[in-house]
Amino acid sequence: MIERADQKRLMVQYLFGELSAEERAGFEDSYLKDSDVFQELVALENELVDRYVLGELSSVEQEKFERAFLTDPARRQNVETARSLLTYAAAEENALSRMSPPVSEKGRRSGIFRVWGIQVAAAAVVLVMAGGILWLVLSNRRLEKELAAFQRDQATATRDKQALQQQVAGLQSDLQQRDHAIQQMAQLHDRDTVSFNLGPGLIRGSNEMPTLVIPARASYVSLHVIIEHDSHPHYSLSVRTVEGDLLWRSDNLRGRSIADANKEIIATLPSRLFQKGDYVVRVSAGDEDPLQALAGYSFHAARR
Amino acid sequence: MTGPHSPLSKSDLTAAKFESLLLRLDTDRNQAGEKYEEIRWKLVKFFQWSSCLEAEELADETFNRVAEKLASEEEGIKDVVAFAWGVAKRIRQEALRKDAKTVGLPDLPGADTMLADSRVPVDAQHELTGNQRHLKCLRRCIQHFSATDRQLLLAYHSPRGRRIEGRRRLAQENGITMIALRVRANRLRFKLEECIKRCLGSTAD
Repeated sequence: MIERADQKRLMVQYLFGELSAEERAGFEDSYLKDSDVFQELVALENELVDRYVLGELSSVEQEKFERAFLTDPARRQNVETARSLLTYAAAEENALSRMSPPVSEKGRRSGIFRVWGIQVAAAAVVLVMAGGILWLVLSNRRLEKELAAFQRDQATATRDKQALQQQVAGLQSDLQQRDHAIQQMAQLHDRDTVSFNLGPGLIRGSNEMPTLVIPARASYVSLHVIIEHDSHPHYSLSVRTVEGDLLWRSDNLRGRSIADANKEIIATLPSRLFQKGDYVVRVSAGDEDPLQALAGYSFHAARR
Repeated sequence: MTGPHSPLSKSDLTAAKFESLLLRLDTDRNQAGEKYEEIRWKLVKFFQWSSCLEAEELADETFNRVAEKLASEEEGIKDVVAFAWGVAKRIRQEALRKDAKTVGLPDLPGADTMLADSRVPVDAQHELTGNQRHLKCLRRCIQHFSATDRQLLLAYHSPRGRRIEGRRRLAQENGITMIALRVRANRLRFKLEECIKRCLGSTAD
């Protein structure tokens, strides 16, 4: 394997025609087969030619060069091409240098960085502006969409309001009708309901159970049960036979405040539940399970 | 720069034989074309370095003979490139024998008839004789290069570009290695040399 320096020396000798026939044949095979060697040889030749044109060869090298290259018309022409090329390239570089003020290598480097920095800054400004414009456009579109949605919502709300108003009007009409019906029913109810009061004051001082007399025409019994000194908001009321059979029950009955901080609970039951016999009403209340028992009243029912 | 040189003339090599030659270099037409150019470049330099006159013509002659052999199929040629080198060496022998019998050629055509003219602006960096035509042809030929190739070639040969740091920067700017830069510059310079030769030949007529 030929060392790099030896390779270069071999190449120079080849270019100057200084190799023996055998050495020449061997070297030719190497560059014909190996493109890397060929490229290196071409580059070396070009370098020699350029250095000759620029007067950079030593006197010995110059003499060898002129003997090898200037006696050959094709190679002489390549020398002229190199001369023209180097001249043209130098002129181009000078022209570019004249366009910008001459600076030192350090200044040129810092100048390059400065120019680069300005270019980067300008690019950054352009990017920011473009970003800002894009943001404005997108925001504008978003706001337009929101406005359109708001207008649609407003229209919907107006329609809903109108529908609700109609609904309210309808309901009011219904209520009026129902009120009328209820009044009618109440009038009827008053005629066929018997009220019966139960409370602690009614039982105390009497040996007999209170008696509920149910007229034949009465369809309902309205029990008015008094609870002493109680503040529960709701009550549970049950009606059982003395045997314990549950006849009727209602939870969540509201109590009406009456005198002495007492409560009155009104429960309206169908009169058909009551036959002749004894019954027990129990009232309880509270959130616990079982509920808190508040009162219990017994009574006798009779029919007329 | 399009078409560095005219391909072999039809009178020398028919299109079919030329295509057949390319096909033997590579089945891909583009790759084959590149290989053809590469081989031709080597052949031209081989003949130049061998001090043969008319190196381009000798390179074309090499391809002629190789193509003829392939067409005749007299020999089972396995390695076309190696065969081409063998043919080139034979042609070199013939050429050197012929050149030895030939009187030395004169200098660049028209050089001795070019007179210094005080009205013509003198290029301070050149000798006037012959070089103005050369420079003119260079300007014309270099315009055929793409802008990128033109910039690279000029930068490579500028005073700054000839220094190692200049070439390193040039390689970096072009996104290639130093070796690739050298190969590219070599190829462009060779194309320029060929173009200028044709230009000088045509302007001399």
